Amino acid sequence: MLRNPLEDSSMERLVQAVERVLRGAESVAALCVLVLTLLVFGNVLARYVFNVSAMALQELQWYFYALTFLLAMAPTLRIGGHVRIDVLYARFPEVWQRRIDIFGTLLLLLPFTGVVLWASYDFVAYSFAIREASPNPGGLPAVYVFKAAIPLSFGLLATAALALVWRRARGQDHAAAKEQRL
Amino acid sequence: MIGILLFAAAFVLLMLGYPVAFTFAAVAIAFAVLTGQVELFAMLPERIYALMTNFTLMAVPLFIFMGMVLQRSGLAETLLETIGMLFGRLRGGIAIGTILVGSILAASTGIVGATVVAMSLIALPVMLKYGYNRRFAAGVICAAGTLGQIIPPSIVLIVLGEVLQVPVGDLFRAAFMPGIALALLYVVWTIAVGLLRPQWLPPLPLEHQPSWQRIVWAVAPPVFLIVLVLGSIFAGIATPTESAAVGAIGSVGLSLLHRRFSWQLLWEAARETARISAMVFTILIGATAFSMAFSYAGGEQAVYDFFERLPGGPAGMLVVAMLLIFFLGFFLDFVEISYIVVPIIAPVLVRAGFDPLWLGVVIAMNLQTSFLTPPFGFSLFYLKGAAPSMETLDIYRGVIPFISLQVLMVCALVLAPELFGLQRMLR
Repeated sequence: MLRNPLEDSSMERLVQAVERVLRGAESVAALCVLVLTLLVFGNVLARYVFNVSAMALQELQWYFYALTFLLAMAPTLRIGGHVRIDVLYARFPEVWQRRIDIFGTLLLLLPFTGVVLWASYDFVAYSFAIREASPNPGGLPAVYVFKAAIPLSFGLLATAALALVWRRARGQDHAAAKEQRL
Repeated sequence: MIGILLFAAAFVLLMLGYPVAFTFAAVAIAFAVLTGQVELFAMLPERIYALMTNFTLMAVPLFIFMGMVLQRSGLAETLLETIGMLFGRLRGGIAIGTILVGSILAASTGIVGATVVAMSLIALPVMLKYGYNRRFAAGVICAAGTLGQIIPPSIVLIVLGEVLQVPVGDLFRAAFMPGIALALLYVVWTIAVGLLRPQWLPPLPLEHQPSWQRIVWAVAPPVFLIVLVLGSIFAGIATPTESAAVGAIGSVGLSLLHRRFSWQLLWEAARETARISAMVFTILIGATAFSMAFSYAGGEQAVYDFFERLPGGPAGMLVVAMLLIFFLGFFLDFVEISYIVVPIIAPVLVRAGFDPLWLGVVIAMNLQTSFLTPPFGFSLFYLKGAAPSMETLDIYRGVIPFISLQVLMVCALVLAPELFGLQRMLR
């Protein structure tokens, strides 16, 4: 098959841009871990030491906790961090591993992200339409923004999946991605 | 019937080696598309949102973070070296020290990977250098490192508490005694092997004993953490989520004390926490999608009917359920089993009259084996990763006695729960 080198390099640049976004997402997720720890710790202090409890602060914990795993989902795909049963996989020849990754991503992962994106459209659109706020007294006012994290993170996952297909189709693997980054 | 087909399809696909979370979800979607029921996933975002606002599961990233900071703080190494020196001159002393350290680390944080890696890097070379039996060395390290999942706090217990609708703090309290008993059983086994096969566990020709200052310096910090984390949960002062955050801050404090702290350490620990949390929660999301399709297909009813028709009443149900979890443990890890399989079979057992709290402990003990059973046991991977010179077959053979001990503990929990302060049946 003939490859157009120009197309090749513009695709490569696009994939690299996606990967930069993924690195950024992972950093934000890591930041969320730190903020979450401080928030929960702070809440314990506030309750026992200062005897106050703020609903808004407790709800804020949810946001950082949820963003931790939602945002890290896609970058973790890139470094091959999702658990797989590799009893057979590890023994397959390289070509087969690549095929499993490519077809698995196209036939298993992308339909899944598609369904979540499809289903979350109504879910989030409704929340936006009514400007949904927290049902708890003293809660945060913008639950709809929080709910939008679902399509956002699954959109990111789908993008990472496409970038992964491109990498795997060109014979590059997760390990290379990991080393490149660290 | 369709429910069983769903499981069969998932298994075949899983064996190909594509990530578990997406495979489970995709099987569910394929089912929905084939039966023209894609609308059943309209509720999926609601279920994901429920995960995003779950206070109990919030403890998972926090405990992982605590473990990651501890791993980098040098605490495990100091502890292992000191206790090794303390016990080394005894026959089997290093092995006993390893079990002791495994228990202490398990009670302070309980991240399996970190413990096994630390022990493989520090204790294993010492054992091999002085002529320990390779299989036994591999087995005891994997088993001791896995204690983190039965001795609270542990991620398995948090997920099981969530699934069984039991307060996680109660489950932690209930699992404490059985966890310690398992560690003791390992020690007894090690002593027995030392008596029967003295050449397998030679004493070490160590010249000096560690000074008591050094022992205090090594043992005090983890004990402090245990008191802080478990103490606050057991005393009812803090929820597991809160005590996890307190423990994480405490472990940062310890890294300062050990002069290991750096901003880079903190940042790398946070990054690794994000990755592992993403891995766990992606499985939870995929498992949720699978469970939705499974119950839609009437799978839960089929499982219920199947268990109802078993001979032997509640006892028969329990035996079949435990065997199922044990054998699934060879292929799946604890997250999938506790989030997909347990929600399906636990209600049947609870309806048969078993106490959910007791059930949680028995299942957690049974799930211990899934970390050690080849070919897919987490601890085995970690050991192999940290000690590539170890033969895979030696590792497999080495863990067999310890898996047997775990099975023995499951039986003890079933037959004599009173020994551990538990009750089998709901009154």
